[in-house]
Amino acid sequence: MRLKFRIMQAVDKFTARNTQFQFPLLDLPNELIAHIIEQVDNIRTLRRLARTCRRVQHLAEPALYRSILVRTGPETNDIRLALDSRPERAAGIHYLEIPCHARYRQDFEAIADLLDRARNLKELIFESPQCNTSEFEDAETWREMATQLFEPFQNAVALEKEVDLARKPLQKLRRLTLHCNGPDSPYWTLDSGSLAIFLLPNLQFLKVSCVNILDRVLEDAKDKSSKTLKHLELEECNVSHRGLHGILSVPQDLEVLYLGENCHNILQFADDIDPGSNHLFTVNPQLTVDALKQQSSTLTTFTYTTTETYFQHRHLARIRDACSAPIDAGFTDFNKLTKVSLIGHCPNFERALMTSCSPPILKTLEFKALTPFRRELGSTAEDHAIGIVPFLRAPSASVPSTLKNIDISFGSTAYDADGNILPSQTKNLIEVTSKATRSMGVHLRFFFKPRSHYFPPYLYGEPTPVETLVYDGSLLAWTIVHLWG
Amino acid sequence: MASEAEQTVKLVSSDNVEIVTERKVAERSMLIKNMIEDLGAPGEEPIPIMNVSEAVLRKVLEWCTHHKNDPAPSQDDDADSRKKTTDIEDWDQKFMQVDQEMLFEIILAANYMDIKALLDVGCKTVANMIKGKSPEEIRKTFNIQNDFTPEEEDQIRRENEWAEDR
Repeated sequence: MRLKFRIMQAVDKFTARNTQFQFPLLDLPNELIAHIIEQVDNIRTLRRLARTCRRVQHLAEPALYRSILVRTGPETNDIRLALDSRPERAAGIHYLEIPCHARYRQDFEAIADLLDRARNLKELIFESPQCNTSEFEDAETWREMATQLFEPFQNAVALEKEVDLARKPLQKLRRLTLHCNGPDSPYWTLDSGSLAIFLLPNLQFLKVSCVNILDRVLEDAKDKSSKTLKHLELEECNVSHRGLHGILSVPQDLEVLYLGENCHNILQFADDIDPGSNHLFTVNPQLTVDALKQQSSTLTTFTYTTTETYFQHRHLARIRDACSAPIDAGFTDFNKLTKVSLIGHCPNFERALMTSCSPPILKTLEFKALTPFRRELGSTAEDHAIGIVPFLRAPSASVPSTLKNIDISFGSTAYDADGNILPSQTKNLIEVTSKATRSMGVHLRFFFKPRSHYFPPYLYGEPTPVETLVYDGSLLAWTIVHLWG
Repeated sequence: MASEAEQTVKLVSSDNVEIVTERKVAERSMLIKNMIEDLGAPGEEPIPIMNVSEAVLRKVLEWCTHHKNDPAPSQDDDADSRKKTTDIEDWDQKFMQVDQEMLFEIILAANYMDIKALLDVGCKTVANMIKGKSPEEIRKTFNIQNDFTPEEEDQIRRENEWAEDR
């Protein structure tokens, strides 16, 4: 071992002496040396650069520390020790990804410390250890983890007198993705403490999954606001009407909203969810639209994900019993709304959006479901074709002149025995409806999504499904012929 | 009046040599572009390029001529979103086959003349010289004096060991 090392050292020196040219790197100003180091795309090389001399170390370590991935406690502590040794390393951290490993202990105190010290942190992605398993922590362990995890966020938004401004963490965080499970549960509950994640002073993008956003949020969010938050994604969440109203009262100018109700986890886990949550448009479209209207002057892109599945949760039978009436023209004054997506069937949603008066500058509509056409069986005469197209099938649908595309995706498509993805009747429907809408200046595009073992939220290392265009209504042509028999 | 595409400009190098070139070529340099805009009457007044010698200026203009029709650089200067690649297109690679002194001068000139794409190519060329080298080899390549004790160097090695290519 020792001899080998000696020989390697000697070889090193020999090759070094044989290097003919000496580019006077250190004669360049620091900004240009840093620019050269920025072009190094290899971590190993950066590590070696940092060992050449003090000046280069100072210029190379910001690039080395810019993006950090830690999965386990020992890894987190390695970083912590490195920061102890040279505190200025922490300033280099811009991007931190912490998808906690399910089988190794994570050190949440060290993570809180890391968040506290990384004063230039711009993006954080965090996944709790058990968010991708079914072995959820017990209440006490979970509370310990959550207390430590949320403390930097609470300090970040605490009043000045409580925490010295110069010592406030997370002041530059722009993007936050948080995938957590709850205590003994796949879901955690937003409360006045964890609401801090919405209130960071520079946060523009926030994505959270499996959160209960329930009635109490209305009270908790009172007088709280964010000027910066533009993009909000709630994925697989259990949201009540008052919870939605509360959470949408926080951003002042939201531009992109992904409102994802719990559609997949509800099938995987038998855990009870709040009976007042989800099926927002089905149960009470008026209350839902009222909540959304808080963002009507800025919202450009809106996605609503919902499900009709509730068989494990009998008390959700309220959907059959206690629904209020559908509403029309709910989005008329959403003056900037250009793209709306609906994932899952929800006639009330299509009606609120399209019936009698639709949003004025709508350009693209998107609909995804296993069977986007409801009446796939039986013949459909061409003059009725418009009546089965998602969104256009809403009663007295008004089609704004700006509408160009309706994208329709067949989710989790299965092949039949002949390798066909869809029955020939459906193929026929696609052709007939495309022709009919094309004469209105609206192009249908059909996509299919291959069947996948993964469901949202897509976590660390999981592939996000890719949809393939199969029929382009602007050309009235199949783009992938061979898959269609 | 000549159309903008046919206009020429006079540049004067640091060693006082006048070089006439197409305006479009010269305007790859944001320094020159801004100067032309300030002067108002391009072509008449010679533009001094104070820190760049004739040989280097000619080399820089050779690059600008080849790239004169490239799309304007995007204003995206967020260091995080930069394309992480040391790939250099073939023509640029050949262009950069110069001695180390010229490479050094090109980088300084590109920086001074504010030609971001050329600066990137120059810096990538140097970055490629670093790739795969040991600390000692890097020091020799760039004439860097090691100011660490062996213990310090070893400590830095251990502290940065967590960082891995991914």
